[in-house]
Amino acid sequence: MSTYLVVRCHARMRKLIRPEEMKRLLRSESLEELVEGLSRTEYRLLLKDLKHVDVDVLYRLYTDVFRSRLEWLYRNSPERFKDFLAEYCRRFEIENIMQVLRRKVTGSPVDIGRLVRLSFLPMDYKALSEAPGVSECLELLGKTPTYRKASVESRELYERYGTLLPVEAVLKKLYYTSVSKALSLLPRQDRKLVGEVLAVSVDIENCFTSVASLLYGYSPPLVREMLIRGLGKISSTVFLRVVDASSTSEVLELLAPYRDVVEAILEGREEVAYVRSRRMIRDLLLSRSVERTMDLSYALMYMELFEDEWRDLCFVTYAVGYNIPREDAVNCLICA
Amino acid sequence: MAVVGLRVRPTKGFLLELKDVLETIREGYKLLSTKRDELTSRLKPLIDELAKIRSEAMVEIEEALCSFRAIYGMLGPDVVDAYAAMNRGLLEVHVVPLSIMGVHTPMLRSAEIPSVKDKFGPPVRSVATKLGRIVQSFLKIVELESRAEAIALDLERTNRIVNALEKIIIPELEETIRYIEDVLEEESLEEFVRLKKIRALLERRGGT
Repeated sequence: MSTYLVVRCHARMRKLIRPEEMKRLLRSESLEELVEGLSRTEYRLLLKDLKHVDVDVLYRLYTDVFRSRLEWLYRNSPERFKDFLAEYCRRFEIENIMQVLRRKVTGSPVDIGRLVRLSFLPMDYKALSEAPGVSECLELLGKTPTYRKASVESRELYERYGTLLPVEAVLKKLYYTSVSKALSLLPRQDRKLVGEVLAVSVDIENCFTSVASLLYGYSPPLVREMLIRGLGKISSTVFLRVVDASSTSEVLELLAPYRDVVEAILEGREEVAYVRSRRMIRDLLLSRSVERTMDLSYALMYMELFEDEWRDLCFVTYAVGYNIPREDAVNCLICA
Repeated sequence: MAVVGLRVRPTKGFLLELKDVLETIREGYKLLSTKRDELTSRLKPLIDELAKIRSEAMVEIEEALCSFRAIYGMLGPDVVDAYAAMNRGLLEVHVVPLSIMGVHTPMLRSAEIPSVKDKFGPPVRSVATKLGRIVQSFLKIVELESRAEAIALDLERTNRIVNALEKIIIPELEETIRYIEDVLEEESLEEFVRLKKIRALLERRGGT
């Protein structure tokens, strides 16, 4: 069963938009030109049905394609990989929950149609969006077994700090802990690579979190609370030292393995740091793809690549639609 | 002969009154021209400071806009809106009047900007911080601009008055005074001639 999935992933991999093509799309002068460029890709069949073209329509189209790819991957996975995949994809669910919570702070309306909702991760977003406030929303979230413990902890932290940052941190910790546990569901040969990807992701999260005190004056107890401990490559004591660091050179020295990302964070260019972190994970997976051509981790690599494609396409569309200078925009392409 | 709004009576009393008025107007003119010079000297450094702060703010805005565009493109309007919806609080500004040569200008005593600290995670926190800094720069620019505007408006008004005094009112008053003096001199000459003639007539009568 896993061989079937991996072979299909190989076939589908060829249909992903190549970096050169993505850069060409970014150079489009208008949305019409972008759609013309997209008609040379796998998206041509869906573009035919569009009655009119605007940024929002294209965003929904890409998100539908992304969602259907994730669901295809889930449908065609072996049972044990399905369970792992559900945990791995929970970050989209967490991002959706955070989207709802952010709007709940000031009670602004939520458009659940724009969330990345996956059929294999059912969640009653309608009920969440109808909750009167953050605490009620978190209470409602606690009714889902996965989030029961996190809900209690989140509510307490939200009351203590009056901000959503620790809530986001609790949900992220829950995600990384549950994916790490789910690693045991993978065949032994895949565990190391996927575990490494997770450890790098945790480190990057901690890099972003730990410098908040030095750069933005965030309260150190809050920052310490937000650190994800014991799951990354770098020890949490290093990140605790970063929280108390007094200079950027000290931070760079402590976080030397992630110098590229940390440098951008320290320069205040977090969008570049974010792109560099995605590239780092992408490069890690691509560098191992040759030796893992028939393993399940190849399917995971395919998933990461089509996620990058989705993110890049959304970015390209916004860049073209809102006329973002292309010379700056090219640095924000993950595949570049 | 009439000065604006003044009916000229060529009398000695009126002449003295006019001279008093001219003296007062000259004093006022001197004061107003001192005020004009002072306002000009205050306005110039204010404009220089405004230009400096504006150019610094433009650099900040350019940088923030660059980051914002990238973040907006990366996360999309919906996510950015959700982050923006998270920021509670109102911008509160306390302004007190500051008098510069009698011109009331606004002075920012304190400004409470809704804090972004401890609220935003990556990658939006850098943009949020930059935008917070821009609000502070905007407030400084608004303060200096309104001060410069108030001074400039008063300077314009003062300048108009000084010019009117210098070019119209004082010369007209001086001319009127000269005219009255001429008339009075003519009258006194006439009187003198008349007296002389009467004296000659009386002498002639006494002689016969």
